[in-house]
This record gives sequence, structure tokens and C-alpha cells, in this order.
Amino acid sequence: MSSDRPSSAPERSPGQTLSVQNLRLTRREPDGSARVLLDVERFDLAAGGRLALAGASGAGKTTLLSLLGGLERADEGSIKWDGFDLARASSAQRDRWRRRNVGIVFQEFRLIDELDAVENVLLPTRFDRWRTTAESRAFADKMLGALGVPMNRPVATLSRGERQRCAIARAVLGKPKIIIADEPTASLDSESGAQVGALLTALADDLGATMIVATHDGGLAARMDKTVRVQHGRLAF
Amino acid sequence: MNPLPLLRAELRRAPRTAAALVLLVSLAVALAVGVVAFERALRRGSTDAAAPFDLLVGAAGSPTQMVLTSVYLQPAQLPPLDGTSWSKLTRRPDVAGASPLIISDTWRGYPVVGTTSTMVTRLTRSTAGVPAFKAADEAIVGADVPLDVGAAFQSAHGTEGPDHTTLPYHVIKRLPPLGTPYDRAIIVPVESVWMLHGFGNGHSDAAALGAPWDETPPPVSALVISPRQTADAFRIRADARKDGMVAAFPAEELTRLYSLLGQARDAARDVSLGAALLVALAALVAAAVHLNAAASRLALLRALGAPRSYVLLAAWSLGAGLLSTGAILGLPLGLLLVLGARAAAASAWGLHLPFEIGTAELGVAFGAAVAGALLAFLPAISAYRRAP
Repeated sequence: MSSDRPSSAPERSPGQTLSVQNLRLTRREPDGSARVLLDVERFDLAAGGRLALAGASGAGKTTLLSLLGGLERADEGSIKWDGFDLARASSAQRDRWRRRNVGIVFQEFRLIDELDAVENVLLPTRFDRWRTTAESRAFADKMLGALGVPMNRPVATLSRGERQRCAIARAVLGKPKIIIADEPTASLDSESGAQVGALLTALADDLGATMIVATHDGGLAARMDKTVRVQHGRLAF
Repeated sequence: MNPLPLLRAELRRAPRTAAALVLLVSLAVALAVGVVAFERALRRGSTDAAAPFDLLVGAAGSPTQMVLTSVYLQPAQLPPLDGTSWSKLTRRPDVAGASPLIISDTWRGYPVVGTTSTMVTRLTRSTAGVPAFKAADEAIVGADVPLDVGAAFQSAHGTEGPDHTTLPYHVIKRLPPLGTPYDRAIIVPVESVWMLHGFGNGHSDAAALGAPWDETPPPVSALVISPRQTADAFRIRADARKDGMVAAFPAEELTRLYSLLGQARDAARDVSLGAALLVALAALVAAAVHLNAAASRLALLRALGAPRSYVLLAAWSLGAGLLSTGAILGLPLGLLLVLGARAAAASAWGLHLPFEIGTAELGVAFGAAVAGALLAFLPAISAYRRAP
């Protein structure tokens, strides 16, 4: 695993290219009016590129990540990853695409406390297979060992840093082409946050993955190619 | 797809709730299984007990009570059947054999039955090893009577009366287990009971035992008749009824009782299955509440790329697994209940009921399991629809 950043994004493929146009998402308010949550005219990200989303809480960062990860569908516009338009894909198509292409890291880890670290990491492999492949198992063991996460303890007993590293191992198990992280260091102390930030970027380097991170952490944002501010659902470049 | 890791996690999260749910369902199903199995065993056991009694004739009264007292030795004073009437019946050409029964005295709660050696042979379905009575003071005891061969005892008048003092019996034979209420019986010559009650012995010869008796012998509780032909049985019954007596085929009386028993069985089974259904519905409500609480976990699965079908499978397999496990465990638990009821029946009625697993019990348990698996789709579909 390298911690050095690659010299340029195009050389970091097989990450995917992102192209967003005229993206709009609204919510119906109880009084019947429509509130615009996101309104993005255009932005692009090269394959293997790294983008930090900054902005105040409630500005729309997490909503944008949900749309970019195919968890939600936009009302208007297009979100194309290597030409695959999430805005036009069905729920099942987005599920399949996400399973094959995206690794997601959450602020609060979102691990299953009653399972141990290895079981958590391997959980996504159960979505379409009965048995985990030996390759996946070996990758999980190697990854957790390299990250210093105790493998066979229930994750509820791990430190917060260990839990986030476990969550990162889960996100990269499928060797995703896209990594989406929502405030991955926000609930960690500064030392653990710095470690997790370095780890995440190093793994993205190794995979050549395109990476989008919502963060308030200046250190982590500095590891990205560029930072975009999200304000009231709009992007400020 | 493999939902097992998630199921394991959910069971670890609430092991007591899961165990309580399985236990409740299994108890409810066990009740239904037990009712069905016990009713069938009771039916078979009572039919076997009635087999030696082709046709019963008694004095005017309840035919059901006559059967219960004569076949199942249920304590009740039957009205006496006068000697002229029953003696006349024994001399009919269409009667192959007749044995009088007197069921009134007891020894320490065990019924003392006055009858003939022929009746003992009929009860044991064999002549091998069954000695004929040679003296009025001889007794043959059932397998559950705590008297050894050679032991002497005095019978008591009725169920709670004083001991008779004039005729001490001695045991000449212990019968092998018959699996009928006669395992609790002490069988003595009918003449001895007449003598104890001051009727003489029914013969002109003071030492005679068994048929033929005088034309006007003393009264009896009932008369067991073996007709020569099936058609004779119906004729004898009709004639007896014409003469003011009660005549009944125990098998026919049992059919009437079975009909009532069957209705009671159906009602009890329906109530217990209803209880199982209520438990299952309560479980579904609990599952729905649980799935609401687990909404963030379902969202996580979807974020990690799980298809909706995986969410459906995980939610369904948890509910179906718990409900079906409870239903299947209800089968052995129900059979344990039947074992307990069997022991109670043997102790209370001397009926040794057969024990076997029938298709009805398997049907109840597996039907409940399938119903549980189907019901589990309700919260699962709800989770499927709500999955982000």
C-alpha cells in the first residue's frame, strides 16, 4: 500500500469519470411548497480524481453524495459515471452498479456491532453469493492485519479508530472504482483522523479509484485534488 | 445470497426475545399436537378395551353408563338386572356364550368384578395360562393390582363400605398387562359375590361355578353376550329392549362418544391453533417494531449495494426462522405432553394408550411452520418496500 499520491489523475484509472449536468433535487414541504435541496449546473471529475466537498452542516453535502452514489435519484439532470447515467437508472440497476463500483465510508462507521471485524468486512460479499470466496477472505484478512484491526472481536469492543479502519476495509473489499466518504474523520480524535485520512487516500491510490469526500477536516481536504464548497445546495468552485 | 451473518447478528442482539418467541410458538403448537395425538390414542385405547364386549345387556337405565362401568370400570352403581331376565337370555339358541358381571365391591380402591372363567378368557383373548375358577374364594388379579399369587384379602362392600368378613379370597393368578382398565381389576367368581351379599350361589349345587345357573339366579350388574352370528346380535338387542332392558354394543356407544370427543378435539385443536396464530401475530408485530428500529441497518445494507431482494430475504428469513423453529419444536414438545397425558390416563382409568406419531400431528406442526413462513413475508415485504 502506498501513501504517496500519484502525480496526475489520468494515470490513476481504472477510476471512473464523473460528469454532472443540471442536477436538481427538490423536496415537498408539509405546506405543499417545493424546497430545492440541490441545484448543480455542471461539474466534472476525471478518472482517479479526488474531490473534497466542504460546507456547513445542512448545506447539501450528504445529499449530493447520496445522489453520486446512486442511493437516491435526482429529479432532473444527469449524473454520469463513465457514461452510466444514475439519473435514468432504475433502483435495481443503481444497486447493481453501486455493488460493483462504489465503496462507501460513513462518519459513524455503520458497522454491525454483533459481528466481528472480518464478518463486517465480508458482509457485502454475501449479497450475491452464499459462500465468501477464498480470495475475498484472504483480502479481508490481509487488509485488517495491515490496518491493525483485531479480526475476531465484536466490533462493538473496538476503538473508534479501529472501527473506522474496519469500515474502510469493508468499503475497499470489492476494489471499487469510486470511493465515497461522508465525514470519515469527523467522529475521530485528531490523531486517529489523520491516520484514517492518510489510509483512505493511500488505498484510493492503490486502487486508482476516483474519490469524493465530504469533510470539515482541513487535513483530509488538503489530500484531495480540489475542494468545492457546497452552499444552500449549490456548488461554489 | 446469504443472509446468515445478518441473522446471527440479529439473534445476538436480542437472544432472549428470540428464545421467548420460539418458546411461545412451540408451546402453542405443542398444545394443538397434543390434543390431536391424545384424542387418537384415547380412541384406539378405548376401542381395544371394548373389544371383548360384543353386546352388553343391563337393567333399564343409561346404556352409556353401563358401558363405562362394565368396560372401563368407572365406579357407578348400575341398577340390578333381575335373574329371570338375564337367565332367559343365556338360554337363547342364538347366544353362543354369556357372562354375568357384578361390579360393586372393591379392595383398596381396586374394583372387584364378579364374573366367570369364560369372561377372563375373553378379556385376555387367550385360554393359555388362564386357570378356570375351581372354588368361590379364588381370585385372578390384573397386572396393576398389588397382590401376589397366594395372597389373601377381603373385599369391601361398594367403594367405601366395610370389608366383607365371611369370604376371604386368595389370589390364584396374576394376568399379564392387557392395556385395559381390567389391569386394575380383581376378578372373582360371580357366585362368590352373590354369596357375600346373601343371594346364595345361583346353583342347586352349593359348590358349582359358572353356567348353567338356576332359572332364577340372583341379579347382576350386566350381562356380556356373544351372539352366534352378527344378525343374532341385533335380534337379541331388539328383544332385550322389548323386554324393558338396556342393550348396547359398546362399539356403537363408543362411536357416539367419539363423535362428541371428536367435536371436543376439533374445538380444542382450533383453540390451540388460534392461540398459535395469536402468538404468531404478536411475533409479527414485534418483528415490525424491530424492523422499524432496524431501519438504519436496512439502509446500511442498501448503501453497501445489497439489492432489495437481499433485504427481503434477510427480513423474511429471520421471522420465518423463528416462527418455523417454534412450530417444529412444538412437535416433540406436544408428544411430551401426550406422554404425560398417557401416564395420567393409565393412572386414572387404567387405560394404556398407544403412543405413535401420526400424519395429523406432523400436519399440525409442519402446517404451522409453513404458516409461520408465509406470515413472515408481511414484515419482510414492509421492510422491502421501505428499504431506501
